[in-house]
Amino acid sequence: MGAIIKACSVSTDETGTSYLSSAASAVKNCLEQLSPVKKGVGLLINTGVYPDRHIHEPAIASLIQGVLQKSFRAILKGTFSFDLHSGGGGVVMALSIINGFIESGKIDYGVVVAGDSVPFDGTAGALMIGRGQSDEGFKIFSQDTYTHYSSDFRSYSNYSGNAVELFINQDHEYLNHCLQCVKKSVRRFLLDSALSDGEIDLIIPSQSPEGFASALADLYDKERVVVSKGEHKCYSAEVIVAIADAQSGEIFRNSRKVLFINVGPGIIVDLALYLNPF
Amino acid sequence: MKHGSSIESLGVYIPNRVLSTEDLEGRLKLSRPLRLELLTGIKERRECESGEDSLTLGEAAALDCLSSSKFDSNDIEMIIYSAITRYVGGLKHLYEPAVSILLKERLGCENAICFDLTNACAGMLSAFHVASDFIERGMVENCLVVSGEYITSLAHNAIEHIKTPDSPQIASLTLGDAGGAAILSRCMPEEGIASSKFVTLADYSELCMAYLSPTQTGGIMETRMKEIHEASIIHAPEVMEEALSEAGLSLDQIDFLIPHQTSKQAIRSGKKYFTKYFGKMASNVVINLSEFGNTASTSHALALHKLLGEGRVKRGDRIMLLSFASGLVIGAMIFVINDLADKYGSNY
Repeated sequence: MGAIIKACSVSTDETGTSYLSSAASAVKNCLEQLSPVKKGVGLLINTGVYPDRHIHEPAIASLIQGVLQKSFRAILKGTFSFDLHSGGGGVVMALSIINGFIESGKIDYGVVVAGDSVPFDGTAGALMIGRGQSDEGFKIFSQDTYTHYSSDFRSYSNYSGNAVELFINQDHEYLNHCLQCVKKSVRRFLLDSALSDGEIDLIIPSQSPEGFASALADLYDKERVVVSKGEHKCYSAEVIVAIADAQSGEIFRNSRKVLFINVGPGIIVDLALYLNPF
Repeated sequence: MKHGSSIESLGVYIPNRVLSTEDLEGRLKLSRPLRLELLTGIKERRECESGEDSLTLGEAAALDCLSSSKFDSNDIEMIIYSAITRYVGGLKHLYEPAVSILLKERLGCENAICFDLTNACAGMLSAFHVASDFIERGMVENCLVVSGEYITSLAHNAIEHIKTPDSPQIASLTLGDAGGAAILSRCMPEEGIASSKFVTLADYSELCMAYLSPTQTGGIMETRMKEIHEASIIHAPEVMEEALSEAGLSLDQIDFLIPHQTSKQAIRSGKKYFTKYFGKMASNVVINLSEFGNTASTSHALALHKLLGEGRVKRGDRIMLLSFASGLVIGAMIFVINDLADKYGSNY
């Protein structure tokens, strides 16, 4: 049994600054797929990195749930919400947690929501997964960390004397290191999964750092790698935006074995094999 | 095969510097005394010294935890950093990379996967809940959960904003810094964590909000204390009932109920409400506020570590960890003390 994608939604904030409002909108679009409710959402995990107003608590996921609570009372009764941080790459790890809770029989549905406020444009992506058949859905999750590159990318906020400022330091080799790490992780992942490169029908990767997805498309077969058009200045939501892009055409529907690749500072590489239901 | 999961080891780190309630209250400009110590039961709390931050607190607690564990750092298969605060290098709030990856590097846990989980004061227990699922499904054998709460900046920053006793920043004065860590590991299905229930009651999600201060270094927190307390105790019995039912226990079979440590008055009022609701009560309700204050996500680890250190908990005792956090998150986790009781002497 694997959990399958039940709904995917991308939403932008009109003001271009608030992740919270676009996140609530993206999750709302997913929850509407569950109405009239039979079973509720057990987990709501936010993997956004840069929240509105530098909020520390409560979890941003609770605030997103709070916006929707009145409209989806039955679906959100019993929902447990929290935030997961894994740099820009938390979506696949969050999917792994939800998939596990579904496998354990603890929940029926879970939602991952991601996106970022300033310096990004507030674009949010939400993905709802639920129980599937034995020969479909998420099958294998894997994470590799390359801590010798942990200083390649650092971002932090600090009060600078008259305002809170965000500082981002990115090593000029960060993109190359991400590519090297992903290549290594994918090779190992395929070996451990007894899969050959040619068996993967579609690759849905992180789009950051800038140029990463295009470079990955050069490495593998261009046709198989989803490179988003880039109209959204989003970050942690990129993988979900790429899924939505792929779903909007034939490519996702026609692909059986889909490899999700999340890469983020650390360097952390999270991978997942998804068997698309036909 | 489904496995069980249990708390294999616990560790804490308490900074040396003491910040007394008297000192803190003395800096307030109120027309009459707040009597904070009398209301909260908090005599003092600890605060970070120069060079200490969320990462170093967490690291020190993790090292303490590993020193009592059968696992070496290389054996650790998963690390979850679960604190609210992510201050690294003073009061710089680190967004990326994840704090867990810095811990992994510092601790030499080469084989661990890692991520950060944030859920206000319920962070550490939420991480227990998630880690248990990975362990029970056989995905990992163990998980090191770490929190480093460098949270006293909220108390210091609150001072200049508090003009009246009903200020929304009063709760910030209860906070203290600490590190907490626990290793959860695989055990027989019938041992260890008997049940774990968590829910977010998001109608109350805005009753307590903390964020980076736009005018000072560090954070600020605004809490509608009365409302969040009332919502917590009114809704907690349902979660407790579910956890007790799954564990096949009644409340009077719990030897130690460890609630989130906010204030003596709040814990006593909760105890009174639960006693009336259930018609019975746990044998002991733990209050561990006097020396440490409210240490956010580490409060359960500190309280349990102290109970173990004092030798008050013995093998076979049933513990309920009861979580209340902004969100509003309510969680209840029940487990039976096993080898843990033999590992800790009279440390306190």
